[in-house]
Amino acid sequence: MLMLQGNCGITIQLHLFFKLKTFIMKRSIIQTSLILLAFALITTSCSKDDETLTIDSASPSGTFTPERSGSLTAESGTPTAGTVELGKDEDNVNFLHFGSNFITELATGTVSIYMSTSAVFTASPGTGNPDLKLVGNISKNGEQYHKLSESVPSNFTHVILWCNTAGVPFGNARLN
Amino acid sequence: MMTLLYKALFMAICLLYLIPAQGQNGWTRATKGFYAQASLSHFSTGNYYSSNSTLFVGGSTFQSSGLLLYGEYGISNRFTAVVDIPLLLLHRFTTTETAVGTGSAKLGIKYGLIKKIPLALQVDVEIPTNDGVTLVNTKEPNSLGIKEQINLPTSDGEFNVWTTAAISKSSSSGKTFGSLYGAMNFRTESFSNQFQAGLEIGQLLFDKLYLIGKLKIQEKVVDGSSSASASFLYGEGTTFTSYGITAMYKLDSKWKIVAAFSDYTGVIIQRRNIYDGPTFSLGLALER
Repeated sequence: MLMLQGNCGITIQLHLFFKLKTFIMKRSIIQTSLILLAFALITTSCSKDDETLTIDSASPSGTFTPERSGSLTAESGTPTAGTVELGKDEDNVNFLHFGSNFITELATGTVSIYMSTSAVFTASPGTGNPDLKLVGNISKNGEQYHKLSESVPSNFTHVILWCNTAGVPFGNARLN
Repeated sequence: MMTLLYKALFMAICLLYLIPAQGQNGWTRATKGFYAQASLSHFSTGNYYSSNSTLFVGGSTFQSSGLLLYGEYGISNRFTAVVDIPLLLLHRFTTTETAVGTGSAKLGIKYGLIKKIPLALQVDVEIPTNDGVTLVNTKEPNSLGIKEQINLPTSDGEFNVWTTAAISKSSSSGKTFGSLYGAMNFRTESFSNQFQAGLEIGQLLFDKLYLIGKLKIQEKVVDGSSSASASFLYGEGTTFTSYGITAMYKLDSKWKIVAAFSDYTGVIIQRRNIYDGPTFSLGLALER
């Protein structure tokens, strides 16, 4: 799921490992209670080590500054709508930002995000698709950032939401 | 008088057996009479009509194959139980893995309102067999190295009720027959209700072969609030005109081979939110 959102999350989890079951079964109730109490104290004192640490590298560092923005126009009968912004964070990393009002059709599965030189999805696999750049995939509605691996040339004026499998546009936005 | 009555009764029974099943018609089965059919179907196309009837042809080819079971049983002279179950459905695009499952099960009761005309009312409940979500991966990752997913549910995940009224007429010889019907599909889960109407005309040739031409329209009746507008497998907002032909060949007094072809057109009602292509099916039927 993280992959589909375009995130490159790093998840670090530490798990305590123990084999007390056989040992506990052989002890009296009092002994068992004492052991369980001790175990509870130990695990409580180690609770910080058991926390999940997630580093979301897809979030902008510091303030995100939009350079171009636009509103999505729905296509193919989908409910697609919302604002889209192209900009940079304080580390000069490029991001595509969908506003909290963003919505599209998700029941069909993965929705791909393309930067395009026009509102029309113009594929040309034989020449390396010079008019399209796949920049991410949508898997949820609402506000989200998508980190771009490189800056977007100025002639890529549109964002297109596209279902690759069916070859159907869900919506597009011109970024001004 | 009794002779006339017997003749009429005999003719009615003959007509009952002459009328091929799995169509919408006004006939009901005789008490303890039954019809059972198992068939294989295949559908393949790359033509998708969106919710606003725009045709897209650039995507992968969608394919659907199925093992379909259909049955009718005469509970009484007026009541017929109907079962329609897509036992096994295989959905896939040529670029994706295959979704496998059972389709929504349709269970119904048909009541012969007027036997002489004949006119029948049928109520079917369509029971979902899953929650309407069957995600499959693409075979190859995209340029970002991600295998995309697409939802290819074998059942739409919603409970709905079909109510159908059908009227039929046959020639005195029983070799030519026709039916008109109208049906409402009351859907749940915020999906739009649907209306269907159709015409079927059949002819018995060489006392062995039935040929039945079919024409059907489907229209959306009430706008639902579902956001699943683009999910063609949910049928939300799906409208069409379909036509087809069914051939039934009598192997003996009980067994039949059934072959059918159907396709869509936009002649009467436009195609919306639908993959447009031909369906072929071949099956075996047992009737008593």
